[in-house]
Amino acid sequence: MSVDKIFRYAPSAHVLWIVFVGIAVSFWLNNNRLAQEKMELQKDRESFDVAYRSVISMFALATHEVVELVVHTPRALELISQGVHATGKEQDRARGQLYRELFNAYESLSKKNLRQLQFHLPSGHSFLRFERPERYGDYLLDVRPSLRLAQQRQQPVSGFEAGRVYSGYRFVYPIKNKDLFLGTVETSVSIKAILETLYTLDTSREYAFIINKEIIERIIFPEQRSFYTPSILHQGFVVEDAKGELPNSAKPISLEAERINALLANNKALKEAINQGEHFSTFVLSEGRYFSVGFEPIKGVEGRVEGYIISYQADETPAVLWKDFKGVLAIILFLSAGIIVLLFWLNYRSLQNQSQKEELETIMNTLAEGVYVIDTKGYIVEVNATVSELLGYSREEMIGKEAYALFHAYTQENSFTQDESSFYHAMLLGKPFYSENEVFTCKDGRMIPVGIRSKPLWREGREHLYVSAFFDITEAKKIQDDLRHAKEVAEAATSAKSQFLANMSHELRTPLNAIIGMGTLLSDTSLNKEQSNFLSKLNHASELLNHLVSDILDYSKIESGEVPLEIVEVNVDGMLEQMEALFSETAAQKGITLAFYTDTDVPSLIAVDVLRLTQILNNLLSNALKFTHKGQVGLLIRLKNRRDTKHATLLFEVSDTGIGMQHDQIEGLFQPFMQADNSTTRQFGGTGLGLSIVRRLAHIMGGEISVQSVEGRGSLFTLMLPVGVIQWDRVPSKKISAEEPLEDKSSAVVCATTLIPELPTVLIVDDTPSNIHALSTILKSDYRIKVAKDGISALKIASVQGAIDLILLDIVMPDMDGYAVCEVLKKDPYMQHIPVIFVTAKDGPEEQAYGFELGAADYITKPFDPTVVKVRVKHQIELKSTQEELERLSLYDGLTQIPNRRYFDAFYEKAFKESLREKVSIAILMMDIDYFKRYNDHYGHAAGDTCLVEVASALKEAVYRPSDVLARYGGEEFVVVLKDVSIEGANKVAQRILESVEALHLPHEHSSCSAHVTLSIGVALKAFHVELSQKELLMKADEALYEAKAQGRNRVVWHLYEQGVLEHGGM
Amino acid sequence: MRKITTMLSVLAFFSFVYANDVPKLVFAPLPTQSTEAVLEMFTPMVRYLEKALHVKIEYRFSSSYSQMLEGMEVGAIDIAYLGPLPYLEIHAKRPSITPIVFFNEASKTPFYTCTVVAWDVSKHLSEITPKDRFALTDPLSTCGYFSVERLLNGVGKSLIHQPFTYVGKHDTVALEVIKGHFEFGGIKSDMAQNYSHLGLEVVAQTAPLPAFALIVDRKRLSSERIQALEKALLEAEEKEYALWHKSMQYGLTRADDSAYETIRRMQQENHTVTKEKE
Repeated sequence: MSVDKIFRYAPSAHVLWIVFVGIAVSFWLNNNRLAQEKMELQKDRESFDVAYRSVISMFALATHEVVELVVHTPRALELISQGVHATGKEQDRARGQLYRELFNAYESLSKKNLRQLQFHLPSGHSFLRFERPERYGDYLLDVRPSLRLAQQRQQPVSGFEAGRVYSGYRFVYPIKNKDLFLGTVETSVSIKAILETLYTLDTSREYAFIINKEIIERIIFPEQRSFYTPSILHQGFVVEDAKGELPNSAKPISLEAERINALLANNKALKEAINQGEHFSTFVLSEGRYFSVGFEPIKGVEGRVEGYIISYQADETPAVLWKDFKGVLAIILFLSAGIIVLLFWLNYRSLQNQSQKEELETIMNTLAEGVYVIDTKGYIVEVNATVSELLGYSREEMIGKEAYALFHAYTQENSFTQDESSFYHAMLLGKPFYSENEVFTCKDGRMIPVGIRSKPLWREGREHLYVSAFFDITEAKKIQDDLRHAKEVAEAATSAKSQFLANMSHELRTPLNAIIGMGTLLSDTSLNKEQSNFLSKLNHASELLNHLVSDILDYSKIESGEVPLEIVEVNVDGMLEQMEALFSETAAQKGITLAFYTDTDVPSLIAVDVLRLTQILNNLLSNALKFTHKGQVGLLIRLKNRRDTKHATLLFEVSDTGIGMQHDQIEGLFQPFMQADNSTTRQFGGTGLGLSIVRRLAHIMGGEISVQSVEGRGSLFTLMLPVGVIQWDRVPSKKISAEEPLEDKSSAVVCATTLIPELPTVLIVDDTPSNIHALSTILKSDYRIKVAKDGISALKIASVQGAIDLILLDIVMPDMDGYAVCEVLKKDPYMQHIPVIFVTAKDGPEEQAYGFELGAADYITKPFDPTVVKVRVKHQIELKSTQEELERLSLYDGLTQIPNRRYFDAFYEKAFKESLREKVSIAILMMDIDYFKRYNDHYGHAAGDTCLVEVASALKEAVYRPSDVLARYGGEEFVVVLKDVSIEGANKVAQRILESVEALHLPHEHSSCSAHVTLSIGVALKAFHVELSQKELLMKADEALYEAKAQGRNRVVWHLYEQGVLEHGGM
Repeated sequence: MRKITTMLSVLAFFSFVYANDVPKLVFAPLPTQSTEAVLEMFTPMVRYLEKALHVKIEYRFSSSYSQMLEGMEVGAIDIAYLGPLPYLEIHAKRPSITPIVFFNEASKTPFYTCTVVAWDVSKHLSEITPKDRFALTDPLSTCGYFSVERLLNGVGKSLIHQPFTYVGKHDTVALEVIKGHFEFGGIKSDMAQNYSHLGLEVVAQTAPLPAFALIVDRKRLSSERIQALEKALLEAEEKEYALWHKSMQYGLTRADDSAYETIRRMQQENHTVTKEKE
């Protein structure tokens, strides 16, 4: 941002104000900081004062004690009295005696830091000093005010005082003996003792003392002068024994204190305070550390300042306060800066908004639509220029006016009031409003139709303004009217066309019906052979014409969209029965098996347009019958998916074993007027519209139709259709149950997969598109083709179980060559069975040998002959198929042609797992031919084999459901697996088996239970939730069989495992 | 910053050099007085000498003469204030130690006397009994055993037959006698005078003895330094030493070893008498 812009956006008055406030607050904070420092110093002073008083009080108490207990004793008073009144040697002796008597008391005082014990004569002369006793007789009243006052008042006096021997705090007491004043006695406490005692009270402080130079010079002995040195702090004061040479002097101050003193040497405030005899305290920064230094004046008994006790204490308060001050100051500066920036920003935004407002106004005025804004009371607050242009009012004429009164006309006729206006109501409710049916009144009175779009503007959750944009739709209305008119004309034409088609339908069908009817009637009359022949051709032509007309009319209806769907409830099985009835005769006439089947999971009642569904299915079935000369035509209904409880998608599969179609014929199959080829039309007739109609109907119903076909083998048409579901459960009677036979059991297993064998799938692996194209072209008619352009993709495709039947593999490919692919394939247990044919330009014997060594089945060299490719591929496919057939055969018993034990084991395992997954029951019927050894022994092994074949045949008859499996378990034992069956059902099957075998009437004279061959059967059934393993269930069946035999054979014993409880019984 | 550091370093260096440049003299004051009295007594003179000689004089206090003399014998002391007897003792061991000036007594002559003091005198010295206790300052003090024995010998007595105790300083001897802990004590005459107001009385007094002297160790001090010392003391103006301790306010007299011949003879006599008594 340029400087100009900064000044442009600067809210100068506010900024100055904030700066001023910021400075004022900073000053205030600084003063506050200094005040806090003073308070801290004041607290220090108070603390010192308390300590000092305490110390003095303590010494005073000790003195008082001595005076009362030692001095005021009769003996002491006697000696003092003698000393006062005697002279010469007598006085000396009395003095000496007093010294001798009180020396122990003095020593006691010394231990309490009270240094001196001195007696004074009433004359003011020193009588006896216990400290420095060699000194005496000096006159003290002129230098010792305390003494003077005590003697004058004859009252105790205490206070600081400089002294000749030393300075200190004095306690002077008058000595009286029966009102006779004998002089005074004093004790002293040295400054050293005071300072040391203060130190014991607060070891964080250091103390020093300076004393008034004038006083000290006046009173000390001359030889003491050298112990006083000038104080650096004030020239009027001296330091007593600064070096601490005298034993009772305070120890020298520390270097730290010396440094602090040096820093304070030129402090004018300190000097002034000392001059005034006032307290002084300050903080001193010495070598990075703060110290509080206090100067406490020590006044003498006359109130004169005689010295100062100086205290030094490390005290970081200023640093802390300074830090706090800086912190708060930084916050204030930051906030101030923030506010200034905010003001800049707000100013900037304000200018931006102004600019945007101007731009918005320009945009609004450029709009072709009239835009106006009203407040919640309907008064206009803003309009753009277009409003003026459209309505003729100037801006000033509109602003502040009520929009309804000014230009809202509501309708062309103005037939309802404002309160009835939907615009007005929308505005009141704060809802958007859109209309192309509003009318505005212009200033000149013209009424113009307008399209209007309005929206409320909200602020803080409340409707604030209501903005509307309108445009003159006079022209649009005119165009709309024209279009409406054109549409009405078109609709009339369409209606006429529909009417024409309906009429035509009627007009065409009427004579056609007459022709067919007359033809039918005529056929009942006696006609000669030639007439019959002519009539037959006439009838046939009439039928064709009828179909032709029906198809053309249907197609017309579909094309014109006149196929309304009529969804009704449909019983699936009922629908199937009707269709079966419809086609059964035709099928029977052609000798074709008709097989209709519905999966058990298909809903029983569906909602669908049954007319259109049956039209589709009838068409497909009709075609299937038409193009099938032998074999079967089937309809299988399956559930593709269950979308929810109310919707499903069904698959309707119509299969046939008819002529089938080639691949290219399938492509145009659903195009209108198309059949597989022209010859078909000629051979089978038809309009070629049928499948086109079927697909369109399927689409209309939301479904899709597809086809698979193999020429010469048949076709499969699949209709996938979404339907509504009314009832899921199948009607039991329509279910093929295990215990009831189907009329035609073979039809039960007709399905698309068995009817139309899947084409073998060939995977072409080549990185050259031309090779892929050539091979695909050669093979596509006979095989499903899959393509991979590299080895990795090929392996991925081949790894899908059963997906690939043969691989044509190029050798030279990027990343992974054909050899490597082949090596992987042959080492993989799931892919090694897929035959591999190398297709390559490398035709050297070494390459071929290497290829075969890797497991390749064959080798085709480029350029290849299409015939060779077809032959080699076919050969390998057949070889694979043969191998698979051999594999299949290994699962069947060679004698009885029913599955063998190996098959049973595999199937039983699968069925057992399915029963758990599907949560259905599973039953094992274990059977044994009674006394079969005796049968063999007496009738021979050939008869025995015949017996086994017959019994197997009978068993096959008795086991109906294709999902059930019967197998020869070994020797004369057979086994049946029944899934989803009740114990009653299983017993019925068992009973049926007994009856079937009984019905064989195979004589068995050596049987102990019957004259014929019979069976014993053991049944074990378990519900899905019962924890019984596959092997255990088999053992249970075996146990039941054993019990049946034990109970006399030719019977059934069953074991039921349900809800964890064993039930058993026999028949 | 670097400049300031450099300047400070230079200043510190010169301060160190200057501090080490000032010569230091070790002075041993009397061990027979309280430290406070000693300081009071000598400090004015010491300050004067420091100023006159541009030296720093350091006190070396001793609790007894023997301790003091040991320091002198090993050459740890430059100057000392000594009475005649200890001087003779140390001179015999370290001849480089000789006196340079005597401090005149109140008589303004370089002689002083020793006394035997007592409190509440009731008998003459010749009347002492074996029970009378004597307080003495120090074995090497002139006024100690040496003088007391000589005075007792004069009246036919001897300390050999008396209980005596070395209590240390002259003050202490005086106060111990005043307190009644001893019947007699041996101290300097002026010291006895100091305590006369407490009833302390002189019982006997010796003949004049060479006054206390300031002695120097010529092995430790250069002759120039000794000369300067002598000059400063002997040429000190009266107004100057008037400020000194009252015992040192009477002027100074040049001293030499010959002044101690009398003492040496007395020592020999004492020795002879003692031998005879034994």
